[in-house]
Order: sequence, then structure tokens, then C-alpha cells
Amino acid sequence: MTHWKQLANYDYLGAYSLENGKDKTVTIKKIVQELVTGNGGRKENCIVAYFSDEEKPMILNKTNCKTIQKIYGTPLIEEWIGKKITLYASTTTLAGETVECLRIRPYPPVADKPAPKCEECGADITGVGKMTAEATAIYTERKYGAKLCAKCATQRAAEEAEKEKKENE
Amino acid sequence: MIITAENYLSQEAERHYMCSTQFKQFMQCEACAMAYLRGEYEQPKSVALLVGSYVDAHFSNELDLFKAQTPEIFTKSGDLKSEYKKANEIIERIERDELFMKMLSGKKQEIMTGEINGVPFKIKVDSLLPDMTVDLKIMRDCSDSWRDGELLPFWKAWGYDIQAAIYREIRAQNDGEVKPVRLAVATKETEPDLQIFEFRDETLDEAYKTVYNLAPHFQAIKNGEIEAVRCGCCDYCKATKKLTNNDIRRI
Repeated sequence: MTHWKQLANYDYLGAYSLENGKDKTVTIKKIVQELVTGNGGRKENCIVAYFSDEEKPMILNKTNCKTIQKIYGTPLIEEWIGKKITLYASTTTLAGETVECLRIRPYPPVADKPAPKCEECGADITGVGKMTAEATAIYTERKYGAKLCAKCATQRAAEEAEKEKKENE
Repeated sequence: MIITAENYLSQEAERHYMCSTQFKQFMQCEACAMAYLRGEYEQPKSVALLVGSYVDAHFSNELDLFKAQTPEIFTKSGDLKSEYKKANEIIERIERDELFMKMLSGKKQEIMTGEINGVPFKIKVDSLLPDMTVDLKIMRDCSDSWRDGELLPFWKAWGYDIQAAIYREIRAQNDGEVKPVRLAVATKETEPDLQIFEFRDETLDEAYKTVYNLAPHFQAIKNGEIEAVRCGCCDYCKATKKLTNNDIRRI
């Protein structure tokens, strides 16, 4: 899907730049102060981040600068060079209106953790419906004494129901 | 460690488990959160917090105990201070509303534990209903609040989305089912207002990402594997700041 702003060729990254609104990880190349022409031709000195793996730069507001400081534990922009950050689309209030904005996740980019394994069949335990994979693993471990995938948990539940039925007969 | 109502807030429980309050403390200032865990620093209990606890205690049938343990809510002559008289007004207003009371009719102060990204978590729910989790909030009002130069909806400004995401996940780990989380909000305005909010799945999914990804980092700080960073602007940082020549600012 294409946001109309992607066709308008804006000079700086915005929430519209994220493909299908998905997070994007970039590497900081340099941080500079430059004169930015905003809406209505108003010129303003802004902090701008350039990236080694993304063509367009990003204007860093106070919130985003504070996030980078928090992630990497330093307010010194020289120490931000080469560091990776993950951008995501969010919303903020501007002059009483809710508008889209580009934000930085408050943690460094992390590789996806491997899914927990089903202790019965060895398959990956995945989220079921709204349940996360971790919730499924912990719930089944508490209920059946082993981390189980949805299929094995359903089978185990049926077996236990059958056993209970026989005991009651 | 087995968590009970008696040891829920103990130093040992706080060190062993993460909870939403602790997680939010770490998000604000890692050094302050660690000083609290080491028993070196305690944030003074604000009147706003005590008013919330007063109302919570009433609906948990623990008000007499709360009064006995919190002498600062009384004047020298033994009357309730004005803020807690207001709390009584809020309680009366809540009790006149059927739906609000229904929200508070679940199991009170129910404790559950679980794990998020390998980190042990504990939660204590105000009202655990069979089909939803409800947290009671006593707020000045429900208007947007400024945080770090940005105007945010009150629930985001106070990190209630983070708290709700933790509650949703830990309850799912215990129940095997994901249940919605609601905020039952009563305000301290002249005429107390009542509102009920239900978090959208997407709102909590977003907040959960933050919890999931930051929890191991905070746990590593708790374990002493990573040094806690000072935020430099909270009361703890101000109280423990040591000026050096580098701190002299030219004006």
C-alpha cells in the first residue's frame, strides 16, 4: 500500500515512509543541526539524523532525542554514530488534532527470540488467537506440566476429559 | 518465591518479581528504581496516591486497616483531612452508579504471577471479573497531560497502557484466555466524574512490545549485570547529585 505522502517526495522521513506502517531499523550516520523549511515556508533550526541505510534524513524532536539518549545511555550525539534505532509510526496531538508522527522504539533493535518448543511434538509454540506464544507455553506448562503447542494441548485436554469421564462411570 | 497479600510489597518480592509500578519506575529512572529496590530511597507517599489507596481500601473492605496504618490522613483533632473527605464523596458517587459498581464487583486485589520474556512478573488486580480485568483509578480529571513536552492522553501519560498490557498477558498465562482490560476512573473534580475505558487490542499490543523488549534489560540491571543509568532530573537524581567542574554552566 502506498501513502500519498510517499509520492509527494518530502525531504524528511515521516510516519508515511514506513512500508505498510511496519517498523524500520536504521543506522545513525551523522547528527547535524540544519535549517528546515516547515509548513508555510517557516524556517527553523532543527536537529536532523542521517542514516547509512536510508536515503532520507529524519528530524529529531525532543522526545526522539531523549529516547536515543535512554537507549544508549548517553546524551552525546557523537556516541550515537553507528548505533541502530527502530522507527515506528505513532500519533501525537498537535494544535488539538491527532496527527501521525515518526517515533523511535525505546529499546535497541533486537533479533526475534526463537519460539518456545512443544515438549510433546517438538514443533514451535505459536500464539493462538490473541494468546502470545509465551502465554500459551506458560499456561500449558501450568495446566499439563509441559509446554505444549495448541494441537498437543487440545489432544491432552481431550485425553484428560476422557479419563475423567471413565473415572466417573 | 510464593507471593501472598502479606509479602506482595516486601523487598524480597520486589527483588524477585517485576511489577507494573516497578517497570514504570525503571522506565523513568533506572538509578532511582534500583535505589528503591536496595532500600536506599523511598519516594514520599503523595496525597494523590493516598487518596487512591483510600478508595481502593474501601472497595477491598480494608478501610479500617488502612486508616489504622495511615495516621497521616487525620488532622490533629482526629478528623479526616479534607482530601479524604473528598475521597468519601467519590466513594458515595461510585456507589450510586450501577455499571461502575458492576466493574468493581470482581475478586478484589487478586494476585497472579507469570513471565514476560523470561522475567518473572507479579500483578495485583483491583477487580478480577470472569470475563475482564478492571483497574480502579482515582484521577484529578481525565484530560490530556504533558509529558516531556508532549500532550498525551491521560492513560498514556501515566503508563496505564503499560500496566494493562502486563495485566492482560499475565492473566492470559493463568487463564489460558485473553480477557479485555478496563479502567474504571473516578475523578476528584468538584462533582466527581465517572468514566469506564476499555483498551483496544492494538493499544495493548503496542504497549506489550515495550514491556517485552525492555523487561530483560531492566532485569539485567536488577541482577547487577548492567549499570543503572541516572535520568538526571528526578527527585532521586537531584538528591544524590554531586557537582563537578564540568557541571558549571555558562550563562
